[in-house]
Amino acid sequence: MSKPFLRFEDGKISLGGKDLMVQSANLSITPTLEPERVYGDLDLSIVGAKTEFVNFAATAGLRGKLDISFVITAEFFKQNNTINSIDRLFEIKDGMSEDPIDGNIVGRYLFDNMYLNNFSFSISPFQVIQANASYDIYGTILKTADRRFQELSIDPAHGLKSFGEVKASNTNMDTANKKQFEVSKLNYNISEKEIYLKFSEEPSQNINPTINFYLNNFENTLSCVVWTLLAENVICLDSSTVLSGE
Amino acid sequence: MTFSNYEQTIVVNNTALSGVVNVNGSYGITEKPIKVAGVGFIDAFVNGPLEGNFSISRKMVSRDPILDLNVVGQYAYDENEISGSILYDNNTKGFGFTKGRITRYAVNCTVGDLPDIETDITVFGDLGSGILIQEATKPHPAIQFTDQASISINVSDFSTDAVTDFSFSRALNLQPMYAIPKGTEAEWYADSKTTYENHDPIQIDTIYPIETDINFTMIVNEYEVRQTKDRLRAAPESDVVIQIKDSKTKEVINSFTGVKARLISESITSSVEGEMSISLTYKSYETLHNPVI
Repeated sequence: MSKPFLRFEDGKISLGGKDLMVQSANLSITPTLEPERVYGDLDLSIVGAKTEFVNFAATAGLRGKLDISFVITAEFFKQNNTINSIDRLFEIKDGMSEDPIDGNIVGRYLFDNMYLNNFSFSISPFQVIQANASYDIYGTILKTADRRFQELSIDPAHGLKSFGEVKASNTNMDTANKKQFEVSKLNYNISEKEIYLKFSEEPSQNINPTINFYLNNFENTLSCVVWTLLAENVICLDSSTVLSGE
Repeated sequence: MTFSNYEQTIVVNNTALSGVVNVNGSYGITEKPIKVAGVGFIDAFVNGPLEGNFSISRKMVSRDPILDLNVVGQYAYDENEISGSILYDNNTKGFGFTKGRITRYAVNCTVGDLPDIETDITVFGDLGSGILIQEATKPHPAIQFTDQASISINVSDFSTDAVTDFSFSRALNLQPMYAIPKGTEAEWYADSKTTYENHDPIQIDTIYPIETDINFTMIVNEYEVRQTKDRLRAAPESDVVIQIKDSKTKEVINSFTGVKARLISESITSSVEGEMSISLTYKSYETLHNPVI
């Protein structure tokens, strides 16, 4: 007997033909509908015609959104059966294209025409690195059979195995600050924005990677070029300090 | 081969402790199961730093070497790390810890008993066998015993009646700060260990105020329970001083003070089996560098 509700264990999530280690997903579809009204018969009490509702009419295509939270493994960033190096992990934009991602399955739904909108992950000490991605979906969503897959073991990216080095103008931050320099948390985020260029009908993608460090000291990160092991030519845009008694 | 109690030595900060009744050491790792859509559970991974716990129960038989004061007269353990070990087999084997911080220090006493000292320690560094296997290097304080006639409790705003028991407890909340490992580009490509794995906290902050709870029970003589609404209108502050003296020389062995403590509860007990007694509970707060006045 089939189960009416989909179990988590049977809801495989596959994007662009790749099975992902997704821990939570949120798929939503929004049709763009507006009520269609026509003028009706003459109504002498108002000395005019009343409008009548006929139906809802679509004014634009279906638009959907997929938000996923997943565990990063080396396989996720594999291209042409070659595992990406860490350099490519942080330069995701080089591996990205403006082509739609097709052949996507989320539980019992199948759809094409998906575009990455936002990707982020954070590194904290002693924690499995959790990534989040947000996609825009255009077009139709089809129903499909629920699926599952087997994964006997994974080797996820973990705060215990990850490390980095922050330099200011190619100088190690410990040296630059003349005091111990520590990063307690790192957030990496890239977002795509559609930019309409003058005289162009097609939107162009603008990819903005940003890194947020939670540091013990930011003296020499101000107005300088920060270079990390993993990302080059990052400009410090904002530094702030927070004090809280809580 | 087994080791009896007289073959074991408890060393804390290079001083062998006396009067130890019980020591427990443990550590734990927190894990988080990974569950994936379409698969279910796959594996569990470390989700927090390794932290251990050490608890020591003692009878008070000397000045407590753990209660050393810093230059401004505060307990050194409020901000400083401690280390220690349980040594056995002629002090050649042991179970030790580093980077420990005291999270609770309590003294309890009832008439007819020596005061009990309980010390809870959270370990942020190494914990296990083979760590700090070395004999105490600091001299042990002179052995001193107290008796019920040599213990006094003074409350600044009234005279206490005959006290039958007391408890004094200081609890510290700690916040360890951990950092992401640091390494170099060369270490990354060599797939080698990082220079700074940062498994231990970079800094351990004491979250102030430190709360001190003092409770004592008196046989009712002169004291009268106060009216509860008096407490709402004004919460008078009292200094509560507990002094434990040597039964022979009357020299103070250990002294505990609740500065500007507020009476937060009173209870009265009357039964056919004994005298009427009143139990008073005081609470005081200690700050880092903003004294409570």
